[in-house]
Amino acid sequence: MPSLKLASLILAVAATLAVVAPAAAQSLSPLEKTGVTPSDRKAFKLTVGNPYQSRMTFVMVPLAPDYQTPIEGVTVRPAELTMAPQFSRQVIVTFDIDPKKKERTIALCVMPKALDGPILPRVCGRYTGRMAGNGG
Amino acid sequence: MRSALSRLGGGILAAAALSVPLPGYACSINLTSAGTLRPSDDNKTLGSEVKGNTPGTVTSILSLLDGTATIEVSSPTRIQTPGGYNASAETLQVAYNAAAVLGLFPGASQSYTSSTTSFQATGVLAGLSFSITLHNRILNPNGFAPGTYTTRTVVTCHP
Repeated sequence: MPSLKLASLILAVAATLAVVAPAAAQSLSPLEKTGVTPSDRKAFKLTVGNPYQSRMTFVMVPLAPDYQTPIEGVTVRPAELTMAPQFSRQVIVTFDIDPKKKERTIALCVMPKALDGPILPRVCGRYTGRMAGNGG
Repeated sequence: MRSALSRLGGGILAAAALSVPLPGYACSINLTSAGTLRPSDDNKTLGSEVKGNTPGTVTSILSLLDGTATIEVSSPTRIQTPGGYNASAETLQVAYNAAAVLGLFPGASQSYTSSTTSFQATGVLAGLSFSITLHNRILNPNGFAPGTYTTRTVVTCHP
């Protein structure tokens, strides 16, 4: 049926345009992760990438899960990354867990350091550490 | 002088491929164009849709094997004004449109608002790419003193 063929063709073209190459730009991965720890500290290894076409410096900002409130007890190494275009690096985020609560969720946001224009693009992930023996 | 204009931000930055393996659940937001504000003839509106169309644009790429990401657009804030500007009656607003991708993403739009808003997008195996066009404006019945004005909108991709 010609109309169906046309529809299929349109859909195929649209899908081709929309689906990018697997290695396409990324800023933060994974976006979400949960892990168990035998102690009162939990660490995650994350990948931060530079999707821009120029050398860029990014800052890693730990926040509460509302993505707005600054928090304590979190270390990010390195907390600032300068990367050539099309490259990525790993960062380690480590945070304390209150033994009374046994679990803590934090957010980590990655944003360009020097971008002082009207649009601030940022990518934030959410990471949960659970002390062993708390259902994890 | 009533050209209370500002050339907002730097040049054009485009998305590029990264030499990294496909992650299971990742998001990228790239600034493509910063946008420009212009004053209205009555000097009571400063916006990127005033006497022209110069929005800011970002491109978001989601590569999620299994998951949905939220794109959150904050209410704008004012980060630069000239001396003598009376901000007491001003209102800052943002509007946006996320282009639909046939069969993969229905798109999203928001008329001018002073609130933080959001929409969701679900990635596909090889990654979903879509662009968001953003407009900012400042309304002020007191008018705008000559000089440079800059607004800021935070666009966040999060789980």
